[in-house]
Amino acid sequence: MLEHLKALVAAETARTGKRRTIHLTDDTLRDGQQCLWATRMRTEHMLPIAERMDRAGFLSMQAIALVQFDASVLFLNQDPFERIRLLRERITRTPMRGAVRSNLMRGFFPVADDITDLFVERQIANGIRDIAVFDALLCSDNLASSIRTARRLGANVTLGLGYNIAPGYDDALYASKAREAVERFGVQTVALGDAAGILTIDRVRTIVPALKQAIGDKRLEFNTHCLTGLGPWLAIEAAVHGADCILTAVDPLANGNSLPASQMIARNLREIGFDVIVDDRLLDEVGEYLGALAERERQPVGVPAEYEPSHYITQYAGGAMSNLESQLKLAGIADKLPAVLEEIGRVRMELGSPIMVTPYPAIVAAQAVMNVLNSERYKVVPDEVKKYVCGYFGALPLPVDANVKDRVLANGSKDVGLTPPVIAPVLPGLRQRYKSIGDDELLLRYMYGDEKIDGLAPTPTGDCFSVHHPVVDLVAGLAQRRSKARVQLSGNGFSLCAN
Amino acid sequence: MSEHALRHTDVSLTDGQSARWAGAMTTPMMLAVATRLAAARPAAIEIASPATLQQCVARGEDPWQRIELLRERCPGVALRAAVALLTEHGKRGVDVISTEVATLWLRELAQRGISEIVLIDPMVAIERIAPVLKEAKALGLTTIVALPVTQESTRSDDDLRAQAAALARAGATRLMLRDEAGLLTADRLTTLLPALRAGLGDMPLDLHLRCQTALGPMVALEAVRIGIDGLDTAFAPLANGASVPALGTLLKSLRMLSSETSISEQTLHAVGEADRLLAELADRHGFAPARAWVFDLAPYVHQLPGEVAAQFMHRLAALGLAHKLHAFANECARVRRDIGEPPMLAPFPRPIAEQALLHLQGTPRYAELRPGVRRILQQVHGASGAVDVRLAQRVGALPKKLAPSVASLRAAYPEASDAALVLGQICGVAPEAVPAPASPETMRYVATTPADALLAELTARAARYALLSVQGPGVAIQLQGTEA
Repeated sequence: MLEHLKALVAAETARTGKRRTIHLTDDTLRDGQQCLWATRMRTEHMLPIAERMDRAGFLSMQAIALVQFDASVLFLNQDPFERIRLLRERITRTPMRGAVRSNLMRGFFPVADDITDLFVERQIANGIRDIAVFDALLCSDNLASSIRTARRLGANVTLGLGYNIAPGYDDALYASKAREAVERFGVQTVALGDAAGILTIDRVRTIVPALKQAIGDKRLEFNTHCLTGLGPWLAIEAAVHGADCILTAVDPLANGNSLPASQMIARNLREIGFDVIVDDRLLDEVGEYLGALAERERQPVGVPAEYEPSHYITQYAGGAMSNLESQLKLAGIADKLPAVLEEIGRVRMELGSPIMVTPYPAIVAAQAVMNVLNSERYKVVPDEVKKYVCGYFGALPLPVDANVKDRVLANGSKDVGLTPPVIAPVLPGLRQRYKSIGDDELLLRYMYGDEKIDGLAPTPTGDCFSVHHPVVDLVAGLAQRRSKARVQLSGNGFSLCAN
Repeated sequence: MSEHALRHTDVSLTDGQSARWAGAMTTPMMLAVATRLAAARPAAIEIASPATLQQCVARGEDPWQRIELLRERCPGVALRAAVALLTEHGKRGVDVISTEVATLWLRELAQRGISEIVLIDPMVAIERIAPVLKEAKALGLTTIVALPVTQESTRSDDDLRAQAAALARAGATRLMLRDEAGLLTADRLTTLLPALRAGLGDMPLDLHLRCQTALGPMVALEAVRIGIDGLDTAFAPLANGASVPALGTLLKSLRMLSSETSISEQTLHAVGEADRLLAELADRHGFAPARAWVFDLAPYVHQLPGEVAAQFMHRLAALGLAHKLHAFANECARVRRDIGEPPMLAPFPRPIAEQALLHLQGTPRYAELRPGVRRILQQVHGASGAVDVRLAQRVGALPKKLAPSVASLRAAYPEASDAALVLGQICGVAPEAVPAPASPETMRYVATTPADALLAELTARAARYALLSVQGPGVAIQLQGTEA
């Protein structure tokens, strides 16, 4: 394997006359902690390492996305815009990336462009230099306004294309979506995102060259996760076959459900003949801090996963599965789970195989439950399913099965029109309601309600957070004092003398 | 997915615990779990290998007694032992086990109920292998002969097919493709297996592969899909990493991928119970928990097998050199090249890794030569490839010393049993240093926590100290001597 990879890289170097540089985009502070710590890393945890990460040589750093906004406000009582500002004060060379989730904001249904545009604008105003846009239906119309806003404000735009195992999701489909993003919107970066870690080596070897060919000299990023244990290999193969940049997390917040490790990927890529310009020593320092932080916060570090092919089959994310189980149990039909799961597979395919990320697992599951409980499939059609089929969520990447479409339209609620209504703007009403607050607070109150925002606490600054025991920090601080004066300290259960 | 039933052999008690727990599993521990292992109905359980014999002797346990007691605990299950023709201890004249001593070894194994042997000669020297196979057959043993996997650039599929054909002609019952460094990929397997089949005719083909690169479980599934006849596995706490794939995960994956397979809930339950028992054992004694290794390209360079890889990864980490893994791997490859590209199975890899680590730590290259490297240069195990001339001249040639005959050993040690004589040869110790069987009481496993063990050991030492004090989270022990 190694010899083959080296030979491929050597052949490319001989053809182009120079060693190619593979960049790393850091995803420790966004996805790494999301995958391993349920997004419970606090802003003050990030500040002591922010400057070192800035100097480490990453091409960009993913700082925040919707999940981090949610966790920050709902669980940590912290202002996510403040996080961006505090990181931006310390991360001055490396562009930080924020994200929008299509035109959904944090809800289930599409919202007007004015609020999404403001969300993009305020991320940029607080220090984000790169906006990642993603739509689970691969519908670029849903992203157009966000992209225009980001471009107008001078930010880089990264289009995320979610990987999906389904009929029709072939290399040509992905290449056409990538080409469209470059030609229609002029995005600078296209990122192939494999959230479930279900890409295979064979597929990487075809899809990566297809995407690279489609986007020409625009940057191709590769993002996978390590649930099958193959993530690092996939990432290395992606680089060999044309990816310009790999998303990684600093070990020990790598592996397991998380991304491949920055340190490991850098060393291995250099070993097969690429240049990778990250500073390994700084990364190891950051890793040491993160390990100590995990221990202090009683959070797990990434543990390499054992290869298991079941991940390729289910594609039904762990969170969605536990929701489904509890809902069936509440409805007293827990015994129907195997039949519902099988039906989910059928319904999903009939509806054009949407990528199973919010909100589509719930929509597909709702129809599957109805099909299992009723004698006739699609006899009862939930409103969301009819809306989906009628394009309320955007144009579908693949057509809905014609017979199924007929049944959905015939049996769905007559209150759901065949043509999606125009979505009313949000901002006029918000500005009327909140007359004397800034746009950051306006957005947060719109997203999370007044009570949560009233309860947010400012983050302690001055980088005073330490992962060490306070006594260790005290001794280290005393050791740095120039004064030779005698120091004597006593407290509950300890006393310390230093001369 | 292939529909024939998979013949899996459990190697938890040999390679599994050697690679994952550094050989720390005692005979009482093995006896305590053996019934549960047998309940999972493997085709065979491997209960002895050169490494476990060494571990027993070093710990003062009689390995023959272990075999006898395990035989009692596992009725109805075939028991297997690995037999290696090259030794690692470095005693002159015993670098290669003679056919006569090997025959004695096989006889001692067969007498104690071993019915299958894996015969390993890393150099695939047919003239050494064939007579031993003949003796094994005469003893009624099923003989599985090992064919070491090498990188395709070192030895092509055609070369391996020729070796496989030669081994088949030498008279083995089965052939085992042995990948102790975890080098195989699914791509390589798809060309290599048909090539080997062509060389073997109807002879069954088994696979033993390790998981240093993290690809082991995937390669194992691919091997089953394209029709391997037998596979070595271990229970989850003793699988993955430098060990072999985990049985439970493999069976579940096979069941999921093939609706035709006959893997029952009962089997999965039995495997789960054995996994749980071993995990409890690990937790109680502070052994490493079940854990896969992260994929890395370095194993394709250093090519260190199972427990040697585990040991040296641990040493690199302990020395703060984990970030120099690739430099270490490259140095291993360099040393190996300089000393004639020996196969990466015992006794060759450990001295190579030791020499490479010396260089990595700053000793000028070959300023000092590890004893094992000297022996490889002196070709005491036989000639491999071309060696660095200056190194060869530096160590000089060694006059050939004939292996002692069994008659001469019996004459030299008239009090020693044949079992002790054989063990002395395998482990490089005098027969009188071979441990005697223990009393049945001491063979009983007593579940103790680390704190219990600490207290017992402290108590045993207490008389030597006026005061012994141990403090830790949740533990405070103070032992004070009293005047007699």
